[in-house]
Amino acid sequence: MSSVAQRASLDAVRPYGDHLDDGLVQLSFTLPVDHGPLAREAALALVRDKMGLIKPEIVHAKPLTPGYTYFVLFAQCQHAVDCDRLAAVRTATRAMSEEEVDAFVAERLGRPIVVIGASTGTDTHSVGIDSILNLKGFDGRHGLEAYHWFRAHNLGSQVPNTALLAKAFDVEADAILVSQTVTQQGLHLHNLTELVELVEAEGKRRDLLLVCGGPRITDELAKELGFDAGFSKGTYPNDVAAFIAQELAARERPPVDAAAPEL
Amino acid sequence: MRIGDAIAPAARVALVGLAKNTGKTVALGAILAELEARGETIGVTSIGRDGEATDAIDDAIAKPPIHLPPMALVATTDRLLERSAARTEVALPTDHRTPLGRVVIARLLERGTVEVAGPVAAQDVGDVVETMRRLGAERVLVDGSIDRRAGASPRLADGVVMSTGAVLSADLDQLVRRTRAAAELMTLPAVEDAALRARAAELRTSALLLEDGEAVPLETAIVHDRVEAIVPLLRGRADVQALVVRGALCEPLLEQVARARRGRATLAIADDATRVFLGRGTCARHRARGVVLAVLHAIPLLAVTTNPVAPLRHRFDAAELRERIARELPGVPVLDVLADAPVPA
Ligand code: B12
Repeated sequence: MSSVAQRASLDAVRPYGDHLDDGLVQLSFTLPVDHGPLAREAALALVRDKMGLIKPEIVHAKPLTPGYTYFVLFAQCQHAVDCDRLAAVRTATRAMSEEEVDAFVAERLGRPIVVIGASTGTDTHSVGIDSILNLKGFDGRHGLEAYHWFRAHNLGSQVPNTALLAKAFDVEADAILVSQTVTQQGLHLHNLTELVELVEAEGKRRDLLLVCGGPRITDELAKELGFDAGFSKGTYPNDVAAFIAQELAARERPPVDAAAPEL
Repeated sequence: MRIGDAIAPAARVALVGLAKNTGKTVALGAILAELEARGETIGVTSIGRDGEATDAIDDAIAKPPIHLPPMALVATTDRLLERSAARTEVALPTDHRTPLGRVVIARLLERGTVEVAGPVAAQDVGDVVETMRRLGAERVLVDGSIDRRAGASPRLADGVVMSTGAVLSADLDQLVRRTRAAAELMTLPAVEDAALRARAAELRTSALLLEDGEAVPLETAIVHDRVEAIVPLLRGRADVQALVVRGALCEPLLEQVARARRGRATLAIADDATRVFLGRGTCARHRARGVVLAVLHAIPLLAVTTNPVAPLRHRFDAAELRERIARELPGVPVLDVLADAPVPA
């Protein structure tokens, strides 16, 4: 294999530049200072004294407009992260392509999965939920509407939680997908918890998978909110489809002590 | 009064916050410390997640760890348990799945800190609570999350501790008003008329109960989505005794009821207070318009805790906040569990 194939231990992961554990990072930023020695010294001081990085080196500096300078720097990060201690990594879901998901659903569930989605409350941002549900999908990968074994309903944006829920009951959804983009003043938090509380009040929480997504959503936040999963930037429709399919299949299985192998 | 005394009557105690960072975890810590001093065997589960090092929204906000006494039972997940430094044994694996792994019930073998993260669905929380009782917990604490109330349902808990704090508003008057409204909602009274209560409890679906004993069933769609459709059903009827909603009773429906009844008193009945959803309105506002809210199962409010600090924002005087809230909630113990401890700078 390639010479880079030397593997770092996952309990102390550092940025990689030229060789393992060198901690090299690249930064770019603009300072509101005229291009010149003072701007360069300011950039170095900022990185060295304030950012916790060492050995900063300017590799590119360019005047943008009078009074502004753009920089690219290299510097060394002294910290490491212990991957074994990160709880939020969703290890339980196996990655699957569109075709693999369809084949899995056909075999394991033998019925189409019904999903319904919306961007809720006052949130007008619909691109996120569209990219997961609509035929066109995201970055060349189809949305769930295109899947043979999914029935996807997209209600669009600014949908009240009660309307989303009524429609979910109507189409007998297996999963509700909610997108939240605006996070100012924690607005998304209340929107999301309210949906969970409504589902609980209806006594339907066990019958529905609740999935949320958006640029600031994580699995950790999803757990706090009472959702089954949270998806953030870089999510493709097949990631979501794989999660829903595998989760539904797992829930149809008898309890743990049957000692069924993990997915 | 101390918080341990306030919760004494309830074997299953729910903790509910009115928002994120109202001091719910601190209240939990205070309860744990007092119960430990009394030598009680404790079980703890969380509807969300508790004892994490930093806030899931703003990692500049540090969260207090949860110290558990030896022999305490805790619901956590396989993945969280693996990275915990405490000495524990798995008392029982469960089948409940969460975004952070599968729920296990662990027993502390010595004092330690474990992140608490129980099942997501309230029904599953109920299972865990019962299991912990079977495994020997004399008292089980069900911690809430953010502003979630589902854990306070009488099906899960015998009483609730509510946490309010400065994060609710930078305006003290508004903070006090919002806390009072939330307490009023949480403590909606049980239907007084025993016969009416029995009739309402028997219903399988939402319905209008008429004086002559008849019930007009209401479709789910009317209750949630096409709420205006209730207006013609109510208009011109003098014989409506109560509106009963099985499931979520939401503000838009109440608005339509008030519109149709034009000020005539109408009783609206929900299963319990966790199923009543008021947006901006308060119980008092609906009452003023003739709609009186009641429940089949009331929730005892055991105590309210106050937190004068909004992390990274503003703070109030601890004693003043506590006293203002206490004045609004006669009969309810209002406590600042940190008041005796030095306030961190
Ligand atoms: C386009 C846009 C708009 C459009 C939206 C049009 C539309 N139909 O959606 C318009 C112009 C209407 C708009 C309005 C506003 N916007 Co705007 N907008 C953007 C912009 C430029 C792009 C967002 C986008 O489409 N991203 C592309 C999608 C594909 O990414 P995504 O949403 O993250 O989705 C991915 C994942 O997150 C995930 N995902 C998302 N949702 C879901 C759901 C599920 C179930 C799953 C599984 C996954 C998932 O999968 C997706 C694919 O990977 C961003 C800035 C930026 N460049 O990001 C600001 C931005 C999001 N907007 C912002 C703001 C503040 C607003 C306004 C409040 C502005 C104002 N003051 O009026 C209003 C909001 C009004 C309202 N009530 O909602 C802020 C949000 C800040 C915050 N965190 O609160 C941003 C970040 C801009 C900024 N830097 O300030 N906006």
